[in-house]
Amino acid sequence: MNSFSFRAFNKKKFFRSPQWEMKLVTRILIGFFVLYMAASFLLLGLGLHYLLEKMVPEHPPINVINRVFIYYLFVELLFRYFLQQLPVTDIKNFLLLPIPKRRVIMNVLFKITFSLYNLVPILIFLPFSIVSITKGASAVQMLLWWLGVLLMVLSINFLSFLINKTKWIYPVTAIVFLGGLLEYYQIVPVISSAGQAMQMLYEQPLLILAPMVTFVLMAQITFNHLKSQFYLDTGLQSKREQVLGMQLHFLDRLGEDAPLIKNDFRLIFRNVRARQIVLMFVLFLFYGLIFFTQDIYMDSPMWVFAAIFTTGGFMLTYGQSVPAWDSEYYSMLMCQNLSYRTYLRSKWLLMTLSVVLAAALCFPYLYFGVKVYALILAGAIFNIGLGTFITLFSGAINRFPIKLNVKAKAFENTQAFNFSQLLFTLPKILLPVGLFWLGKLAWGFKGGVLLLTITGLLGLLFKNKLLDQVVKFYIKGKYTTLEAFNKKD
Amino acid sequence: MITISQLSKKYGGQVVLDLPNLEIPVGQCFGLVGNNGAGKTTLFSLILDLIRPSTGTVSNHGIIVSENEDWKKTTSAFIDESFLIGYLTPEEYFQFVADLRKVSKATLDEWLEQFIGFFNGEILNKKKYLRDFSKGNQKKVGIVAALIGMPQTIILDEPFANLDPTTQIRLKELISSMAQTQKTTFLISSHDLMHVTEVCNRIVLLEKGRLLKDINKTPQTLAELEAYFKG
Repeated sequence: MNSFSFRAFNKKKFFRSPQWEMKLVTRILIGFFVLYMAASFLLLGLGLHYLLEKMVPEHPPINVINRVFIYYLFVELLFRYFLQQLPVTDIKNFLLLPIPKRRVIMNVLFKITFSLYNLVPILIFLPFSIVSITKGASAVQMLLWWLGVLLMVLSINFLSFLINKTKWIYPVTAIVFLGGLLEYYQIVPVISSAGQAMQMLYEQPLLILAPMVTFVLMAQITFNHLKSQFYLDTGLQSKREQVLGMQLHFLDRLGEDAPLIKNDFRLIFRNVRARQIVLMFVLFLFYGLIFFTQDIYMDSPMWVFAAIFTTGGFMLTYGQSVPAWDSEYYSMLMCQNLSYRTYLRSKWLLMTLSVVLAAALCFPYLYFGVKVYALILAGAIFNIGLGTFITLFSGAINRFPIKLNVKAKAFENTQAFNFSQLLFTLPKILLPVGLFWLGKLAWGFKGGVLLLTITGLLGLLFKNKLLDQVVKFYIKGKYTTLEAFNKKD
Repeated sequence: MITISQLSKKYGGQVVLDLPNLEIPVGQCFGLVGNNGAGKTTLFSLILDLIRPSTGTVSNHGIIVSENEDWKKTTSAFIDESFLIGYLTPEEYFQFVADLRKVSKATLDEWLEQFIGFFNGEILNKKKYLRDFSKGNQKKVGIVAALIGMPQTIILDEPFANLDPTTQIRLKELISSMAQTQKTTFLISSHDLMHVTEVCNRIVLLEKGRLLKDINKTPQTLAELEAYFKG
């Protein structure tokens, strides 16, 4: 039994997975990003005391933090719910082995607790507490308060784990909003009561018992939840779903590409992973609101950034995994009466349709001026003419198979959109931004828009030539791609 | 017709398949047997251009498969469940393959009627995704899909495994009748010596990547194979 260790299994899983070298590189890049974020949080923690003193001189900083702390907890929950990757343990393999269930579950609990996200309260609030102590606050009070904060954040962490596969985040959000409203209209002081509770925790160190009990309770609930999932027919079984009827006859007019595009529609709407793309498409439509509404971004490259994203959300999220979406049955596609050209052209067409649809839906941006909408259209043309092809190229290099059928269950990881995938999108954004900047440098804003448009049109003009190159690239990588996709991870 | 010349496949230094030459004429029912690791699936994957040959070529009706995609028009295959699209219903999956093979919906529906017995009421109109079917039923769907559009060459890897006895018998009848009436070339691998000798008129026995026996079927073939596998 001594030789058995989950850590060793995880290590093997990483180093023996297909393309682990690539994964290692992205991990290192992510590592730098994490270091940067950690440094930022640390700086924030060190400066928070002074910052608050300056901004709200009439109250001691600790009181200010206590008052808004409930919102902080809520934001933590939101971030964790949408971004935090859940620890994955392949427990099916361990079901019949003589390992106590308790041990497997404890391993999961540890993984949840020692997540990088949990460093945030340590990086922000510990320096804050120490600075406050040097400024004359009581050390016992301050440190116990910090411990309470840490325990609350860890409890939130368990909560996010428990509700991660459910839709409970929406009622929770509604409750927080309702609380905010009740507070604002001075009906029931929900939020300020929470603030007072935090203040009491600070003033009465014995109250540390409350967060302690909460933490233990949450851990116990999570433990019980995991334990109940430990059977093939509960946590591990994939549930049969209702068939989503999709006839899609309106797509028949696309001719030779119709069967493939129909298939992609079904792929997108019938798989947990792929469904997120629709969400991304809609969310990105609103992306421009961040930049086009603020004067400081006026005419800056950030506008191009926004223009590319508003119409290219689908193109970027779907396209970056283009052969990978079909990874489960890629060998089958390779044996069908289907040329690589037709396959890739249908993908191009689908992305193009999404950009056109997005550009049409972006019509209301005219409200912010003709300039803005012209830039969005130029970005759309660039996306169609060139962005699609760049995306197809980058997709070919991305050989991580996608498990479409991953069901929403406690032990599996369903977060498809993660940071490492975001890294691949960078060049697709920088090129148009650069083009616009060059054009603008030479002939002003109009020049930038024009250069983007012309580049896009050139891409469209040479569409067949570009497609030829993409096809060549895909055929060259065919065996490698098949090998990577057929590897059982 | 499939012509194999100087074909070999190595992984690292290890030779997993080495076939100097082999010819499979049109309309032949070609059976492939051998223990695990003999190279059966490797051979099929090479014929389907799913892996890169270390040396040599496979040509399918005169087209070298690693250089030109046109062989896909006349060939179909069912190797394993990765040939199924899990999020489609069987009907949609059949339609998808039929669309690619330029078979109209009406023709497909009519053609599918002959499989009602084969499906045994477990496949059509079930309102269920393929990923939720049992392994045996998935196999039925995969095999039938490989037959859509009258391809000239059909490759089936272990078609009898996971099927219930009734379906195995029906599948044998189906293959025999297609081979006779439509001059379809079948390439079938199997661990089931009885089925494969019954349905095929030529049996090739592989051992560790090499061709050990190439037999035109006679009434003694089954006994001969059994003698070999007894060791």
